[in-house]
Amino acid sequence: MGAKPIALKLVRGHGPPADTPSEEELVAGLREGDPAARELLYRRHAKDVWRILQRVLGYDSELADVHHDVFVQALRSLPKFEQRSSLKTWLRAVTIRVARAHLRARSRRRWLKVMAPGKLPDLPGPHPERPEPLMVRAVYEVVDGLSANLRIAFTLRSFDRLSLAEIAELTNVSIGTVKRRLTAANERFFRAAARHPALADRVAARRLRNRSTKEDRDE
Amino acid sequence: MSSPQLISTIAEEVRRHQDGPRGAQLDVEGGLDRLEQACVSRKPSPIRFVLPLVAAAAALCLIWLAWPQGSLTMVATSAGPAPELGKWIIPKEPTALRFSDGTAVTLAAGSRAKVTRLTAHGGLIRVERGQLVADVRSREQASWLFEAGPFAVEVVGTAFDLSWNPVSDTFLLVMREGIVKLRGPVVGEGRTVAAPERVQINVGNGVLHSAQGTELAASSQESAGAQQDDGEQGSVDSGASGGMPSTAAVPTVDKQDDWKSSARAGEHVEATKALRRAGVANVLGAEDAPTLLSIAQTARLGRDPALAAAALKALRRRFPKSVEAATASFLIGKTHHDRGRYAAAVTELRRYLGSAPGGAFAREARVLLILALHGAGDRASARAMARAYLAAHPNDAHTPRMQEIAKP
Repeated sequence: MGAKPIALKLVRGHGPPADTPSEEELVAGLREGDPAARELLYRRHAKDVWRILQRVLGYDSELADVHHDVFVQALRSLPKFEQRSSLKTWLRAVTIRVARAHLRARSRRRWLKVMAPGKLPDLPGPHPERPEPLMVRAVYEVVDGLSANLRIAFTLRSFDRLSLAEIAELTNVSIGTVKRRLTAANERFFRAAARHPALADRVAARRLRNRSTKEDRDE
Repeated sequence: MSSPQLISTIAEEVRRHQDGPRGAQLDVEGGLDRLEQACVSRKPSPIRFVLPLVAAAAALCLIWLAWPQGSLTMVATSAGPAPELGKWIIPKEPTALRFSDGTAVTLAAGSRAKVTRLTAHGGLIRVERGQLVADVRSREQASWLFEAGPFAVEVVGTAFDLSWNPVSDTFLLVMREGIVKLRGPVVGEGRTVAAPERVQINVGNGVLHSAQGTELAASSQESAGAQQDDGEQGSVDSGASGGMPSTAAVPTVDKQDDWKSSARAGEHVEATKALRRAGVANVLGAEDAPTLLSIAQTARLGRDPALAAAALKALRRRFPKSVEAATASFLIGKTHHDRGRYAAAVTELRRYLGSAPGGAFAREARVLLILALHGAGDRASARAMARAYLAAHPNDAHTPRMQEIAKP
């Protein structure tokens, strides 16, 4: 049960050791509160978690905080990890849970913005400029209109190219439910995108192209 | 209707941006340091549920909205210049923040919090760990949100102590004035918490303890489990352990009681008017002790101090040995203190501490008593008590004030 301290010896900033511990050893080390195991967990999975959060949340000034929360939550709920899935899958599931909670918190905060419309604008925060291209921003403005469940299914499938089975496992629902969510999300996304100034042209152009392709086929 | 090709094109652009140099960049080393810092105190404590464990005191926040075109400003006091919006504040010693409307907030040493947003009517404060003592001035349209771990506390105008310990997964909210709405694990999407209620939630085991006073033991029959919404994480324990039985801060809403509905909605003036319409003598002669306490609180927030005082007096007269009667002494003492009637405050606060020396508001009562003694001119007693307080609580949100009084 005990982790082998030798196997988990890491030196900060020197990358992974040649003698990389197995996942079982890593989990055992984490359960014993071994700092080296924590560091290894972080180094192995931080980028994956970051990428998923970016896909789901889009631009978010609190991305680093949410990312931090994922690891804190993961370490806290480690006793519940039964190793029926890989550590990576389990951590991704935690990521989705934390992202969902953050989305809920974000929507709660909207009341702050609507208290005095146009009268007293918010003071600028630490990230006044949104660095993403207009198109990407527009996409997430449309995605913001989806419910958390639809959003998660849509972004994981479309932006992160996860399989239906993977999404089902991460969100703890059946594949059938994932399919239903994706169908609903796609329809809503397109309806909203067709009305968005930055995306309307693309949607219209794609429809035209689809129509001409269909006509060509019919002929 | 949807087009896989269009989604594919859009997704490609999203990926290219997010994975490219202009996408948000992960600071691995910084993140690791932060995680390590969060885990440093994760070693199992020999004593669980010791409140001082939540040691830290984080603080904050704001308010304002005096001028139509004005906006809230944050003015640092003991820690130097005003902290930048969105930056984490990790004070090494209790740090008081004051805001342009006079609202005062104190962040305890070792806490980690930040003011994420300020608007015309409120703001958002996030507490990652530690304790905050907030006195948010009640103003029309004032709206504040405090996030502590997985919990959110919505505030209009009130005073409370809040702490979040990510190590023990323990959230603690001590209401001193007013009403807030609490959201999060165990309590679900909204539970109204009104002064003088104290709520402690352990997320790990899904247990919630609630009490009107420390006098808790006497009111164990007042199980208010019915107030709990479905939680995200487990069941609610109405207080079987820890000596903190649950009682309801505001009685369960009875559709026939207008004032209760209004009070729960935070419409204190309306609630007070409804109480008056119902007949003060009738209400004060008929309601039970917890409800009388709620009436006093509602009336105070509804700017009807006469009704508040009448409710507290009725409470002490009708239920002299109740836990609520002791709490009434605390509230009366606090009211006297707030109005500068220090001698009367000393009497009432001593009365409270005499009947509930280990009560839920004992710490607050001691602080107020010290301030009242100081205000009444009994500097020697105030100094002695302040020194004793500092010895017992060397590092909490009241430390700066106590240090001032303790000076020879």
